[in-house]
Amino acid sequence: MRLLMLCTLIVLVLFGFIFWDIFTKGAGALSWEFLLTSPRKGMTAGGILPAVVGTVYVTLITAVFAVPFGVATAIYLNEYAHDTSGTRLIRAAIRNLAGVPSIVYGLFGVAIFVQGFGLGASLLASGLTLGLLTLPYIVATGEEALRNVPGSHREGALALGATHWQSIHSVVLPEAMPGIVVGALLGLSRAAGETAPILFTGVAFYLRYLPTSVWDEFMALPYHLFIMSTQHHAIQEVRPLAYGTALILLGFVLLLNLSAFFLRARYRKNFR
Amino acid sequence: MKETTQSKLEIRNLHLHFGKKEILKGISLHVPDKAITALIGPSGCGKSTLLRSLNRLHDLNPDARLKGNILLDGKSILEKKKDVTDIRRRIGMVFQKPNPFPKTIFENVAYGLKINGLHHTERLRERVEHALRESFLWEEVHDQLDEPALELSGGQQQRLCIARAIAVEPEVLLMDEPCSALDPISTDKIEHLMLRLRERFCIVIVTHNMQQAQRVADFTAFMYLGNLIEHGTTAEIFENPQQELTKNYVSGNFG
Repeated sequence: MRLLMLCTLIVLVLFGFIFWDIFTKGAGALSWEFLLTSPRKGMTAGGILPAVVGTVYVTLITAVFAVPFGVATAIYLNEYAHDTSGTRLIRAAIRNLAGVPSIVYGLFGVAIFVQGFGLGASLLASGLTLGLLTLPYIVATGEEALRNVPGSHREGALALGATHWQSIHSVVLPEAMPGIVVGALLGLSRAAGETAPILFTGVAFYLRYLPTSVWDEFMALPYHLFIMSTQHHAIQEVRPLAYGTALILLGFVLLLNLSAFFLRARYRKNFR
Repeated sequence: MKETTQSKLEIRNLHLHFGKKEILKGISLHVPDKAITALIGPSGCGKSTLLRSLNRLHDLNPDARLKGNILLDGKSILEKKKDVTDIRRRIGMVFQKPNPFPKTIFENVAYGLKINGLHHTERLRERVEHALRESFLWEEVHDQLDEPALELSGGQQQRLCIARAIAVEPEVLLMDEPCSALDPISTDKIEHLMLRLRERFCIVIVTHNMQQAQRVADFTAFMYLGNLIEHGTTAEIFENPQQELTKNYVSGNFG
């Protein structure tokens, strides 16, 4: 018991230290100017607007592809598919996909989207690649949320003369929605922080213009951070900017997680 | 049995398999209209399974196979091409554990009406109020119709489920041990309700509680290990059973 508490404490201290380190070193760089202007002077000055915009865009594209397909798959698997060796195989495959390293998704994205479909290095190709990465997570959490809806509610609806789809649409889905939304947001927040899948599929080192269509290349917070901390010619000089970027990225992910948290709390209240 | 009333439901030599296991072994039973028929028997005798065959809830289970026939007003309800949603609208069901949807009280009762295409607000309100009055629930909930149904007590939830079932005006009402999760006072209210609903519906109730069967049922069928052992008026079954097995069960020797 003491030992367990000690372990918990160590973990907390470690995370606290990481956050404190990033915060103290990055807070100085933060300002509206930092958030709302482009980098200047070979990225040694100015802000990170293009990276923020790029990350928001690519996350939106990820959501547009991963959420509908993921939720539809979860509904099919949990509400329609019978428990056969085939569906069990599909489930196992999806679970395993969730564990595939993100760099592998990156390579796959190059092969399929950038070259195969000829999308080139673009927001669209990156969004699709991140979508693939997020999909298994959304399917798994979506299925979990659907599984938690009591079978008696499905039967209740059917016994009143509802069709299968009516029972899903009007009873099962509303009940599972909090879990589905929370799972989707958490999956997206993970995608927003990924570097490897966008590395070869669309992210750029530095762009003078914001992307104007899904065919453009883009800058992104995680990749920008990577460059500033390892690839820049004046690493010491840009260190505060790198920490500032890290802080913004953390803030973005935290925002997604917090909105998941509040949504869950609100749905809970509505249902009880 | 003696045909005292015209039968609403007729079960003809019904067999049900789950996979290789035979759960119902050839059941034949006439269920009269405007009366309460109780299915009694020890756990695992197949009485709930039989009840769930009557509104084709076993359709959901790919391992379930039905043989024989079930007639509603003389027409088979087991044919594959028969519209199962129509059958379930005509044959309503109340479950063992109250299962209101996590919606408001109003939405619960309105659910069946809405999926059957009634969206007229005024008509909906009338039907919901009517169903709640019928279920002796209106007085208790009329000023909290927009509150979550899950805030009601267990007994109220079960009466809400009855209101939800009768709101679509079915012809038959199936009740699967509707009081087994309730206290005696709630049970008493539901039994009163059943006796009133009997005037309008054909009611089939599965019950573990032999006193309950005697209090409410006009007819009683005793089942054992997937067979229908004996069927008759409730008085006949409890006071003058013909079969040794029935006699032992109703006198509490096993079960």
